Amino acid sequence: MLDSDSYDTVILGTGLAQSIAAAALAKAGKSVLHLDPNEYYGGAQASLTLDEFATWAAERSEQPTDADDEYTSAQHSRYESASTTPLGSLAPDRRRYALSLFPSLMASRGTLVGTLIASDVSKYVGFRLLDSVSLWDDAKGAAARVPGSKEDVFKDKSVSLPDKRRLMKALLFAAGEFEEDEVLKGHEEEPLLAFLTRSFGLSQRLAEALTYAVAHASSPDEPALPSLIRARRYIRSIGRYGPRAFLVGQYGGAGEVAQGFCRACAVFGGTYILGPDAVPSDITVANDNASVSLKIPGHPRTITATHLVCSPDFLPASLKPESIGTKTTAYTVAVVATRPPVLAPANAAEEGEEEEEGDDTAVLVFPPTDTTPLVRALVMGEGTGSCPQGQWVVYLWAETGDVKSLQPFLGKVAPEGVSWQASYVEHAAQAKPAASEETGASPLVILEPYAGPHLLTEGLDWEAAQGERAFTAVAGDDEHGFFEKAEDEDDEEDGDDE
Amino acid sequence: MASEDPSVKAVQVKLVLLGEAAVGKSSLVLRFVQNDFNENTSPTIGAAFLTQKCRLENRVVKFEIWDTAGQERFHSLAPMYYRNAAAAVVVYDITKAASLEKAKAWVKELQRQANPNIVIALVGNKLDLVEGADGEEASTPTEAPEAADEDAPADEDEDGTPPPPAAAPASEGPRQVSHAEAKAYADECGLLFFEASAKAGTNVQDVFTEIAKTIPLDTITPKPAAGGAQNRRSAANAAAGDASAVNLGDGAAAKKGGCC
Ligand SMILES: Nc1nc2c(ncn2[C@@H]2O[C@H](COP(=O)(O)OP(=O)(O)OP(=O)(O)O)[C@@H](O)[C@H]2O)c(=O)[nH]1
Ligand SMILES: [Mg+2]
Repeated sequence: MLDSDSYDTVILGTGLAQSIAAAALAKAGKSVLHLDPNEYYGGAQASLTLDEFATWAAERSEQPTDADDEYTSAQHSRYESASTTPLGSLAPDRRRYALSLFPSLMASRGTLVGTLIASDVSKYVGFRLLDSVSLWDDAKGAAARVPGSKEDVFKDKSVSLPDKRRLMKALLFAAGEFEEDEVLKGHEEEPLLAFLTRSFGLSQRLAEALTYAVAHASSPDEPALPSLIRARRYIRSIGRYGPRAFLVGQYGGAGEVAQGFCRACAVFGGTYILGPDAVPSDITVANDNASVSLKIPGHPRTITATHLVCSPDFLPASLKPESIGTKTTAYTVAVVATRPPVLAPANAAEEGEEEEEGDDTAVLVFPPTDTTPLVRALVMGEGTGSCPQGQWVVYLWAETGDVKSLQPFLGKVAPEGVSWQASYVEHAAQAKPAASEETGASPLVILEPYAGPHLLTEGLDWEAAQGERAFTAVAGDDEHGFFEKAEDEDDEEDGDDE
Repeated sequence: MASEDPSVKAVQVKLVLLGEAAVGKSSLVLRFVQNDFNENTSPTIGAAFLTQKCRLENRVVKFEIWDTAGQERFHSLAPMYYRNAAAAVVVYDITKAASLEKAKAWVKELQRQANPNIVIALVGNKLDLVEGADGEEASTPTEAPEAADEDAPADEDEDGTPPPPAAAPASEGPRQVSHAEAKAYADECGLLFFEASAKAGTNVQDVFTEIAKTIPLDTITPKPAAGGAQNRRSAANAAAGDASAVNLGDGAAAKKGGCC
């Protein structure tokens, strides 16, 4: 039973955006009740152990019933064909895995990294530089590293000198203030791939590398301007923490980060209930539009809040935002016991050098073909806390409803076979973007789940932006800004040398 | 604390606190870290974690202390809380029998969730309240004991609200958990065991010193490139032999920008 029946804000779901909003609101002095019907933190961004993943998949492939609550039935329509293979020999270590429902990377200069630092949640979560980005070369039947930085371009022995110059020119262009550049004027809508080939004389292979592995576009048709804006942010991310643009979060990334924000919220007085006691029902907006009420099994009385923050998944049909479509993505997550070839050391050891032990993380992009969509693979080793030593986690996903179509790609990433595998299809509802809401106008703050084509590189920043938006919608012109340091607040906890 | 010896590098150790509300977890930390006691502590708010060094003859252990901050109330501690914790202090209140039962539940939870080598100390707090009653410590408490939610039903007594300032007179009855009972349980489960008083300072330092002595440091000392996963990844060990690990806060130093 809770101490109180009323809160400034009730937040449903512990997804990353919700968790960021929760921490920011608690820090700003709001009373926060944070509920999640799942037994685990992270919602659609959760990191799951192997057994949790099996349960997750089993629950989502059960027959829906009329008795289902809103969240459960939303999960049934969101996920399809979820299955996992038996744990087998991995069973004893099942809890040592952290498998993400949201395979994603954090750009070193982006929204989330700023929020992590401002909130001090960075103290709870470890990150590592992504070791490499590669493009699948079908002719060679192998992955080829994509040079991401100036140094990489110079070192790359597979690119001829004139090509290097062209590539450098294109990278410089993408890193600069191209909006006003004559080269781009009038071609903003041209597909990026065509624009790069035409404007910089790049070979098809190099143009593909820039399109799919630097701009991280998902199709050859993505227009030049927004793709270049993304590429610029990624290129400018290089150098902040090392020679590469992206960071991999420990223990599954997004889910761990969400836990960090939830802890921060609790530290500032937020209350947490997870599991069946936290399943909301009877969500009602008061007639005067000034509050929301709901019930949960864990509390005998109706709970009221000045604001309710949640994703559409929790809302009854009458309150759900209009959906303007769905984006269908098939996912496969596999555990492998042989080092995937894409992690092989970049360069054979030269004289006098120690043999490199190989990479721990990699992104591998399979460019689209006439018959297959673009497929992305994210590989993580034990250094990321995703799995025990001597094993690797492979995520594969593509915009398709046919989860079996990923299997040949899994064979290319992990030719020696897999020890365990989960597969599922997700239909992410694309909510109609909220009309620029007047601060405090509605007691209901609805978060938009990510439904774009750039989950890998944009998903985390999207969630961070949604979290900040929710904070602003609730706190508005409050005296406290988003994770603003209070005047007299010092780093008292860390008066220690290091 | 002992004088600085630059030749001994502090080993960072994550220590988590667990126990029913109002048993004195935060007070024990406050006593250990600042040698202070506050009669009217509010339920834990505002400290991400506190750090304190413990110097032994041959090692310096820097405790990174995680207080539960309310997530334990409905058993909703995140896996992150237990992750890489090398030590746990599970606290009960010797004047509340139910709090020992809660402590036992937390020990079970630790055995399920935490790293198998974790050092667990069971601490019976508020020893000052039973001084005299036990016979061996003769003095009577000079200050009124703090008001506890004594008459709340046993299963709903984790009221997180701060007790009214030192009001209710000696309602906190005498000892409800005997030293022998708790000690027997601790021995059975292989836990360190202390009775302590955050208020009087009794035994508090000893809890942490004993933990520092007991922790098998080889399991937590960073081993460069040795592949001990636990070590390679912890953010605290970012500098130690793991080139790919980054500390987000350090990015300020490298703000100058992109490659091109
Ligand atoms: N007499 C006495 N009172 C104590 C002692 N330790 C703590 N208290 C009092 O017990 C109350 C609760 O102490 P806290 O340290 O806040 O307990 P906590 O376990 O951190 O509580 P939560 O953060 O709510 O879970 C406060 O009023 C303290 O002053 C002690 O050793 N002796
Ligand atoms: Mg406390």
